[in-house]
Amino acid sequence: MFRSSSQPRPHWQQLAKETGFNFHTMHGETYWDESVYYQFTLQQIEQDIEDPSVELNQMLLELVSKVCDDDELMQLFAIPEQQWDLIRRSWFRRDPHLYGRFDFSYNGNGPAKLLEANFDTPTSLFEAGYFQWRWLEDMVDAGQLPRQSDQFNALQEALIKHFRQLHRFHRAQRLYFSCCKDTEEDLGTVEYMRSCAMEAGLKTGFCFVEDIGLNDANQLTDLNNNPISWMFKLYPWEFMFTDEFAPALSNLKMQWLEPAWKAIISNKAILPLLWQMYEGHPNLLPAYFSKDKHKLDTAAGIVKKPLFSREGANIEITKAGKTLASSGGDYGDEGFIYQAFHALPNFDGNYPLIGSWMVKDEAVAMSIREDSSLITQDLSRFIPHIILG
Amino acid sequence: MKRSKHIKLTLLMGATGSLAGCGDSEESALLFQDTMECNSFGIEFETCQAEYQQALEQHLNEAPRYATEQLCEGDFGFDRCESNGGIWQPLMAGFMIGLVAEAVDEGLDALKKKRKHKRAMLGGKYYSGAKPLYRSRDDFFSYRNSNNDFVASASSSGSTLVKSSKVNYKAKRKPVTRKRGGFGRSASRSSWGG
Repeated sequence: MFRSSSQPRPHWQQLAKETGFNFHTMHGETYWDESVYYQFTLQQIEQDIEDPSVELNQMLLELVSKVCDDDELMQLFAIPEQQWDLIRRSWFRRDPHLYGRFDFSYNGNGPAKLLEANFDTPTSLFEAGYFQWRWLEDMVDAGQLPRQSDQFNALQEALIKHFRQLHRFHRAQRLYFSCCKDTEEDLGTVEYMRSCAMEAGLKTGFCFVEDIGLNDANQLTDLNNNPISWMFKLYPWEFMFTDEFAPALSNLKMQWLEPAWKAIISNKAILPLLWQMYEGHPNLLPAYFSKDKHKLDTAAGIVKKPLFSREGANIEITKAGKTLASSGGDYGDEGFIYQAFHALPNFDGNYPLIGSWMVKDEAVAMSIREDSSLITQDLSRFIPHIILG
Repeated sequence: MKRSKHIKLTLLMGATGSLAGCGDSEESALLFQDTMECNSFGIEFETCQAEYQQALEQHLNEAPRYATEQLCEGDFGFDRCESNGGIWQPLMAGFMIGLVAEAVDEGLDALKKKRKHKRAMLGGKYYSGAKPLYRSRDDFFSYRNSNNDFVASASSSGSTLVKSSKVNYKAKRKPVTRKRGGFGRSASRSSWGG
């Protein structure tokens, strides 16, 4: 695993504009950064990223099964009790799911350590599946990178393939896509996802989360009062559970992507539970709920994470009584979990976080986010990667 | 190879205004108030009657329903409603025969040349069925379909261009949306990806 600097393509900003990738720079900060790339060997990718991702995914499904069977475990997720049935039914039906992303700390040697799983609303999808891919093609064509350079990135192919499969079971249905207003990044992600669905032949629609209506027949509706029977939402389940329409959720006869059972996997309570079930697993870090947090070694460092936190909000890293890093945000009322601190590797003062993308239950792609802080947040730079050797 | 072989894709993101939905093409349709008007347009009387009958059947299925005559008249005007098995429905104010433009043009050409081929234009692959039309009290000079979508002005009898979605709509009774904005309030920030 190397970090190499590289010449940005002269036309990349033009290309970004043409493809609608308008959030390559956010709040005046570079987000897409192709002045560097990371290089891996095929063995590193297959043994250390791909295989563990598939295994961790199986472990998580096993965990969901267990949690759905057990009220006491369900209690740990801070999910309103009225919504448990919705989650359980969606799991017992095995409602199909679409995608997710594991975040790993990995330095090229030894096992990748799972920091968390984003399985409900992962973003940076377009950058990973499309723009990163184009970067490698262009770099190879321009002779900047050797012809045999590869990338762990079948994300778009896998998404379209999976949409085709879903299409077979929902022939006549229109799949609505939804995200909140006023966020270019979320809209870009949703539009890209919708492009893939359309490529697979699905009928699609769009409605902002805030515009969704509820009619007399207990159906959600778009702005033209058309009932919605199938929806992809880039909006967290835990928010839906406390929104005004929450009481209606369990009576809706509709399919969701991601399905309600993903509310379990996207919750940080999985981290201590995984450690309980598979203590000592090479890809897991010790993690506990607050009553057992004394089992962690304070000298080695502890990371405190809210159950619902996203994009690195409200995270606190302490070591031997000192705060190494912390981030602000609005999470934390729901409770915290505590994970053993495992520093991200340091490459010239940059801390890369490995994202391993799952489509259905297959590991299909990798993306890297880099920050100059130990906590990766929504503005951390997206760095492309190659496989060589 | 660990990456996608090719990623040809029509990206929605670059296209401006993609959220407005797919383009709605225009189609030719024939709009008539009754069989007489249809017949005087040059179509055989039996054909007009068959089309009218088809629209009428659809009408009974898909027309708005009201519990009382008063409620119905509130929307459609005095004496513009009829009772149908205990519920009240507006009268069918006209009917629409949907066709794609070429078919109408071909048909009209045939009409001009040999009046015998009139029926040809109302059959075959171009034909998409006859649909009922309504005129509401607050918009009396327009034809609307049973989804309450504007179709055309009521004065435009005969061949008219109509939005495709207004001809090929799915006649589904849409319950009224009671409330909007019930999702999204929990959002304290604008983005939650991760």
